[in-house]
Formats: sequence, structure tokens, C-alpha cells
Amino acid sequence: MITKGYRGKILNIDLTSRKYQIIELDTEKARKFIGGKGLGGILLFEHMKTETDPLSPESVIMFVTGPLTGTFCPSTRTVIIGKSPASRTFCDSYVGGHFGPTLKYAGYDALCIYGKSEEACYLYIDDDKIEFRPAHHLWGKDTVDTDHAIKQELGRDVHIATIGPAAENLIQYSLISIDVHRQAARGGLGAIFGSKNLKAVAVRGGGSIVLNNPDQFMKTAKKIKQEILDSNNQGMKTLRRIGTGRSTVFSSNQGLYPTRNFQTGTFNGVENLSGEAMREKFWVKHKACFACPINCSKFGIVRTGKYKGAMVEGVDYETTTLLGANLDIDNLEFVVAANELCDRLGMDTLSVGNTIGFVMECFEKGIVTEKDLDGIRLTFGNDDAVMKIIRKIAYREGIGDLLAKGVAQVAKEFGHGSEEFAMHVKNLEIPGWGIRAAPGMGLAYATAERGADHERAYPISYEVKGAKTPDGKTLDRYGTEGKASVTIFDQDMNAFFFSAALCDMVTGAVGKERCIELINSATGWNIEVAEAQEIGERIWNIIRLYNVREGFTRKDDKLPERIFKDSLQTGIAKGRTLKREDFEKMLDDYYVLRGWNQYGIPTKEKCIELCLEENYKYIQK
Amino acid sequence: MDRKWIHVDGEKCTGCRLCQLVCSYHNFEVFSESKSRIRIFYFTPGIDLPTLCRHCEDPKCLPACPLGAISIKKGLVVIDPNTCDGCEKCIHACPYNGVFLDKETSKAINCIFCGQCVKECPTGCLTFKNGKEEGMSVDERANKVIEMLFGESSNFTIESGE
Repeated sequence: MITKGYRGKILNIDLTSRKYQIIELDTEKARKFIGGKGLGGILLFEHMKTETDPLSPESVIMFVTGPLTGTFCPSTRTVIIGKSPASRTFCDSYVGGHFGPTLKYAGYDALCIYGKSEEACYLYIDDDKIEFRPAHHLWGKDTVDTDHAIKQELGRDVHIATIGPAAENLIQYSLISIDVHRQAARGGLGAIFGSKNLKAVAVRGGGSIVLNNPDQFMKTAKKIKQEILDSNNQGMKTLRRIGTGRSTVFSSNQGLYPTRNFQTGTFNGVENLSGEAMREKFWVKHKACFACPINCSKFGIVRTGKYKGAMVEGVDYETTTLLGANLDIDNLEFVVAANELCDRLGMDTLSVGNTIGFVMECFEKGIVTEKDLDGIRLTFGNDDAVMKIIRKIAYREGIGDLLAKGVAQVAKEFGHGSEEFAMHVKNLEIPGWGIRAAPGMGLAYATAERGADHERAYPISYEVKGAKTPDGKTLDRYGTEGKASVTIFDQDMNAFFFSAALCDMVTGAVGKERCIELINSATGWNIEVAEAQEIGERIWNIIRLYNVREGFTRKDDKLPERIFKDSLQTGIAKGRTLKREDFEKMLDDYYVLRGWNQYGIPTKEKCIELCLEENYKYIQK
Repeated sequence: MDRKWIHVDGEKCTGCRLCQLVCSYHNFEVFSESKSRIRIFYFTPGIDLPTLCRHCEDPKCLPACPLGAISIKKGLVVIDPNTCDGCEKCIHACPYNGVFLDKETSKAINCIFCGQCVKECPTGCLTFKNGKEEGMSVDERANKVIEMLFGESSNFTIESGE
């Protein structure tokens, strides 16, 4: 019997044989791992053999929804899951937009794609009709043109996941674009599409999501929506007004805004990249993800100057840091144009900005010269040079071929001590929040499953914003006390939310209790509120087991040397580094509290406690 | 006729589709795009346009139906699901993209004027307004919004969004 809230089916596609299979969703598994991140986690663990090359035909790429996806619950997302070509860890990349809900309307909780097509192709899913269609005419096209071309072929009501030229060229930080304006950007999952000769997936869905208790569900969901729209809700009011750009000035004031390849954490031109500046100069329209009343996204167009006509939905906070401050550029119009270019070519703006910022510093230090960079003077602040380099990366031209491998590889190649300021964790470039002004963030980056990531845990809330810990304490900003505990709390809680699959912009507004209530009224289950944390912990651990099986342990849970050696030169945290012993202390605490051994490997007892005993067997050697 | 109708302010739609979700829930107790009596059309760049039945006084869909399933009752265009066989002729006849196919039942559906979409619209894009407006195809409406937001005469301002 199909559990309500779900569609009860998984669509497995083999591109090699051009065959597909529709299998039933294992209800027990769904109850244990919910959906999204959790369901994807267990599926990847079970279906990917150890040490599979992420770009080989044996590699799988999955689109996984949750029991709340496609309902009235505010902002439910879809997660794309695979083994990251960048970090070679488990990788989950989230997108809003309409692809996931539509996949569910088509009848599937998840879509898993295996194999490799002999020729360029794209998939067309129209309820139970599955087509393998030729994509020679689309190969080489950017994400926007591909989206338009497919919509012309199939009608404008299909929703499309596509890659751009960067993913065709297997760039290590290439993305999957959803209906042009939503990017599953981190971890290079686009390259998996490229390696399979798969240009796109188009989906149309005519079915319905049936709930166990729709009236109860709507009552709760409407209440959450009303609270989000309540004019007294100041946080939401700001988010609705200026999107994630609300964090820009705060971040710089707190020394957290990566500037000049993370040399410091404050940026003189920050006002020019703020949400208010974008509102003033750039935006024309509010945009929302599926079922989301927040509309934190904004659409805009550059109106004057050399970047006139550049259009983008954004610019998201993170992109203003990595393509702005990190390159020492405060020209908003450039950031928009560079963001648009990255989106069209299909590359993660964060990894692009991080990698280019690194090369700029190498240029400044004389480690590389124009000669090494195809004659381009890639100095801090040189926007024209950045636009040239972005294209070179996507097409692997000249120096672009090396930069396409990510900052860790570039540093290895450049040498001369540059590895110390290559800002990555497990080969995934660090996003837009600094560490030295919020040490807990360092622990969050070091322990995140896909490499440097800011969405799994965000200790800055407790360290800088003064949020109380779950047990009611206030944390010392620069101390180590309590940092492991809040990092674990966030990671487990978010693992649960991301399985439902809520957007991190609404998890606070929905809350644990109501998220459980929504899942229960959708499915007819009786999950206890206290169980949420345990489900999250189980998910975090199954993913850790996957990574351990791939060889990741304590030796990989580390931070770039710059964090320990180079102090911040400006701002509120001037003079600060993260002390190495403080980091090791937080990591020790973290493993102990997690019930893992000193090497960061989950213990047998912990696995039994979380009903992961079967999975633990795979890492016993 | 002095009566309230659902007015669509095209440039205010964020594409969130809460209208569709409450519509399919209210009418069919499920969440479904196909069972929604209001639909959103997407146009590049960044435009979302809700469309729904305008309940025309002289509807083109009515004579297009070969089975006589469409009638006007109390000023509303009504499709009888028991008579409809899903031939889609009404859908193609409507110049305003206001009739849709429920793919699960293969029946044509249109707005029954329950007003739930207006109630749940978070941006004020859907409102009740006295009197009907001039009919326009969805493409014409999209062009109007694009001109308003991006055209030469645009003053490029963004609604408050709060």
C-alpha cells in the first residue's frame, strides 16, 4: 500500500540500455529516512559500490523529493544526490523551483539515473511515458538556450533540469540548472550529467498528491504561511524585502565576509553589494520558489554601463561574497553579469569566485604571472579579466583547463606554499562565511559531509547573533565550549528538515513540532516530536558511514592553513586566527558527542542505537 | 454587470503557485497542478502569469463543446463533468487560456469562483474587483507585463514585497 504524502514509486533509468524500471518505494525505508537527504543517503549507500568513479557509467545521480514536496507547505525543495566529482564524498545539492513537485505529480518520489548514453540525449518524463530523446542539437548550448529549446519542443508547461557547456566539459564545479533560475550548484553534480551524455531531464506531471488528513494538514500549513506574512515578523519582513542580501552588511560588520581570497573579513565596498543596493539599482520583480510566500528571490536587470542588459534572479548573498568581495570588486553590475555568465555556462558561482580569488592572490604574490595565465593580468579588482577567465574555465581553454579542477588542484600545481591559502575543505571551495571571526563555523565546515558547506550547521547564530543553545546557554564567541554540541544539533535537525524536504529559509518558521505534524497528517504516521532529532542523527550517520567507506576519516576533517596562521587584518575580529589546539579540541568534543571513535568513525554501538547495524558491517575491515 | 470578478495583476505574481495548491485542495482534496482551476504560465524573462476562466458573457468554449456540457448558470460558465468526455475542444476555443484538462479524469475544468485563490495569494496579485476587464490572450498579457517591467518607459521600481 502506498503511504499517503508519497507517490510510492521510484523511477530508475539506465541510459546504457535505454530501459527504465518503476519500483515501489520501500515504506519501511521511508519511515526510517523520510525522503530527500535521508532517502537519498540510504539509496546512495546501497546502490553505489565503494570507490566508484563519480564520472563513470556506474555512478548514479538522483532527484529525491520528500513527503511535503509539492504540497501547500511553504517552500519544499528537491535534492539532487550523487557522489561529488569535487570532494568524492556523498553530495546533496538542493533546489527550489518546480521540478521536484512536478516529478511527484508525475508519480515519482525519486528519479535515479544510471549508465551512460552512447549519444547525447535528454529524458522526457510525462507521467508514465518515458522517452529517451536525442540532444545533439542541444549539446554545447548554455542553460538558458537549452531550456528554451526544450520548452519549444515539448510545450511551456514542462519543467527542466539541464546542464550547460561547463558540465559537458566535466568541470569539477559544474551545476544542474532548474528552469533557468534555480541552480543545484555545489559539489559538481552537473559533471555527472555530462559524463553520462545526458543534457537534460524534462518532466510534466498530471497526477495528484493525496494526504491522509488534508484538512489538518492545511490548517497547519496555512498557519505557518500567515505567520510568515505577519507584518510584525521583522525577520521575514526583511527577507521578503531584500532576500538573502539582508546578511551582507551584517556579515562584513562582524568580520565574516570573505574578502581578497579570505585575507580578511570586512569589505570597504560592502554597501554596494547589499540587498538595499540591489533593490535600489537592479531588481524589478519578486520571485518565489514553489509554494513559498516569502519570495526571497528577486529578478533584476542591469540598466546602464558596460554590463547593461545582464539579467539574473539574485544576486544571492553568497555570490556577492565570492564573486564580489573575494575578488575585491564592489561593482554590483559586474557581479550580476558574472553571476549570469556562470549560470548560463553552468558553474557554481561560489567555487568559481573562490578559485579565481586564489589565483589573484598567487598573481599578487608573484607565484604566477601573466605568462602562466594566457596573458591575462588576473589582479584583484580586474573585472574584465574575471569575465575572460570564467569563459576559459567553462571551455577548458588554456589555463582554464587547470582552474576547472578546483582550487585544491590548482594550488598543488602552483606550489610555492600556495596550498596554505587554497580555501577548501575536502576539495570543495569554502563558501561566503569566514571562520576566524566565528570558530564554530570552522568545525561546521570541517565536519560537513560534502566538504565546506554552510547550510548543514550555522554556529554563527549562537556565536555572533546570540541565539541560545538548545539547553538555554549563551556561548562565548571565540571559545570552544559548546561549539561541538550546537554544530551537531544543527546538523541533525537540518538533516531531518532537508529530508522532508524543507528549504533552510523556512525551517525556522515551520519548526520541528509543526514539521512533524505536517508529516504525520500527510502520511498517517505517528512520529513523536522527540524522534525528529534521532531521525536526523540516523541520516547524518548513514552519510558518514558512506564517506568512511570511501576512506574519509579524521585526517580529512580539516581546514586550510590560512585559518590557523594568517590573522584577520581588519574589523571586529582583527588579529584573530583560529588556534590549532582550539580546532582539535572542538573536533575531539564533536566525535565524543557523536559517539564516534577518535578517527571520526561511527562506533558499532552508535550504529546499533540508530538501527544502522546492517550498514556498519560494510565499514568493518 | 455590477459584480466582483477575479482580477490578475500580472507583474505581482512571484510564481509561488499557492493559488493552484489551495484550488486543488479546496475542490478535490489533493495537491495537483492538473486538478487546479487556475494555472500559471511562465514567460522569459522571469514573468509568471496566472490565468483562469473569465466567465465570458458570450463564451467561445460553449458552442465549441460538441456534447453540450457547457452552460451559463448565474453568470458563471459551468462545465458538467458527467457530460464532458475530455475532447479538449473548449480548451482550444478559449482565447484566454481559461479552461484546463484534469489529466487524471480526462475532464475539462474551469474556475468555479470559490475565491480561495484570492484569499491565499500572498502578494496581492489576485484580487476581487468590480466589473470585468477587457479580454486578452495570455501572450498579450505577458507582453504587457514585460513592457511594463523592462521596456523603454519602465521606471524600474520594485514593489515593497513585505
